[in-house]
Amino acid sequence: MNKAQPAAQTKPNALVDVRSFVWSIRREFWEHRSLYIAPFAIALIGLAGYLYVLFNTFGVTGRFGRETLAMQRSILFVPVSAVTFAIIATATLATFYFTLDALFGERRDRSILFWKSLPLSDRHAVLAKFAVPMLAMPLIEFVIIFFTQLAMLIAAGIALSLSGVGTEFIWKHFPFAKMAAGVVYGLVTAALWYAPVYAWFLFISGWARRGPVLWAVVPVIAAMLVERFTLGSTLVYDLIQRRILAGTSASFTEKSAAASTQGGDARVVVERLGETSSSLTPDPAKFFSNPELWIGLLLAVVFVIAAIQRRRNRGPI
Amino acid sequence: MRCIEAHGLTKTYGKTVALNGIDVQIDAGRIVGLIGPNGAGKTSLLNAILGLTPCEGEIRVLGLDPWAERATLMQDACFVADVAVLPRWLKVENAIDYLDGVHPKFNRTIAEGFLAKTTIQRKSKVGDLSKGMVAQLHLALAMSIDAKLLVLDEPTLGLDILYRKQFYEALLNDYYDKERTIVVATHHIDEIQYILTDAIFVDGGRVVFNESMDQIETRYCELIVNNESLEAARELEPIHTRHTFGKHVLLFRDREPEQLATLGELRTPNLSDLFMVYVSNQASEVRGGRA
Repeated sequence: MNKAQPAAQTKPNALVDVRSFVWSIRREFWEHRSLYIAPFAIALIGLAGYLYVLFNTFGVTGRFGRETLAMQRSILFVPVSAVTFAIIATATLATFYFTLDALFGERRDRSILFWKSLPLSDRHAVLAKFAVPMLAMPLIEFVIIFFTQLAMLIAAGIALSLSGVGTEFIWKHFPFAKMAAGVVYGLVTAALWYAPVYAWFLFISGWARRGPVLWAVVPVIAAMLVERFTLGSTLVYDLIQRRILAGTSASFTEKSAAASTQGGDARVVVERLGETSSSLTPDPAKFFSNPELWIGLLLAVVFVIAAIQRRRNRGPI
Repeated sequence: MRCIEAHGLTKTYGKTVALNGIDVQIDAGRIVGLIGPNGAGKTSLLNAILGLTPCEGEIRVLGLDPWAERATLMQDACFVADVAVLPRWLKVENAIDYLDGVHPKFNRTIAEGFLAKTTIQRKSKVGDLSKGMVAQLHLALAMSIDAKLLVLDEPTLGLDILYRKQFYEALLNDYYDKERTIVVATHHIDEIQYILTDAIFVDGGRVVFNESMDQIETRYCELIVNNESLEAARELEPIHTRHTFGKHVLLFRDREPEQLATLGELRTPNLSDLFMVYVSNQASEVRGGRA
């Protein structure tokens, strides 16, 4: 056994690091299974709901053929967009939870002593955790979304052909390439846009002695309130609001106004929804020229470095 | 070859002095017991050796600075803390996969061999195993790493006597090869004294006793005398005297056994006797110093 050791040591370092890095990312998913189970469950629920809609409009009432084209498109395709958004939203929430727990849980259950007994640096450990929201989750979300959309469209195709409308309706009206490209672009830009939030949560999870969720949120809310009541301005609020809620509008352009209830008629709203969800156009020029993106990424780097320092100094709680 | 070398190692947490200028050298191939009461500084010393905490003073482990080079050090050093540090969600098979994936000196075949001797199931999660099984698992994983230094911190805490005995037997029979160094911090002095080559007592952040077991046998002896011979024995300057069951037990260091044998019954003190002497003496001295 001893003779084998020099061979082990002469393995090229870069290769060993990539291999260990991938293993360290995998281990995060052993620990935080909700990262893939939650979006997968939402996908299944969405799929079941969609099957119900198809059964209702084709099987029971057979009213599909009597609808307007806009309504037909909405019935078939709005659920696809809606389920896609629901999967992304669920996965994002699960990822927020993960980043808040990643460096906290290992100190709380003392397993940090086990992880630190391995020949892996704190930089390796923290970067592997940061790679979960930045690399692994976008990939997992894409795979789940891809197969969910595929299943939904196959179901729609079966329903259409059984009802005599014909599957070419899907080919004609569903923007396949645009949708897939949009999902990839959306996942990548969302990861970049939320990077400072993930990094901040990761830092707090490595820093807080208890209640990382509170520590992550309360100072930000306090800053908003202090600014509001001392300076009367809402700069922090606007920044946070744009960061958390405006991820989509930072990276996409909407060609038509979002569906509103101003028309008063629910049918019009549903018809317009069909148009809106297909009118979100990737706008990389706007996204990458936005200084807020780059400031956010810079902050993310700062928080990740701080998280590495924290992990180096912190033992079990 | 030196495995661990520390000079003037000092660690303070606020006003609390955890390590108070520790000097210690541990050669390769030794099995060292690190023994001290709670709060003596054992864990702080182990943390310094393992690069888990920065310290003032100098420390080299396997020629490396542990704080600056922990990840490199851990290729050749291995650490088993008390039984509760393996994460509860980890499956046994995943633990093996992960170590195989990240540790260049982990040998999967050896680990599987060790586990085959136990009743631990591959699919079990750590949280579903008994305390004793978790200790078996952690030791099996540690022993499957071809390390030069193994550090154990209270590895059998909370285990029943059966598992404790098995634990040390496995360590001695299946792992120790006279080249590896093992450092064990524990309270169970009596159980480990027969496997040790050296004993270090730590108290009040200082090393108060540091001898090899061979030295203990040659340098120390206990003399059991009755009242008549007590005065004569006291003139030979024992380092400690205690009174039990109507007899006086005097501890001597570096005295000729022939000289003592005329006064009463001689025996080699065991580690817990020495511990009581050195640690309680030091404790009162330290307490006096602080007051």
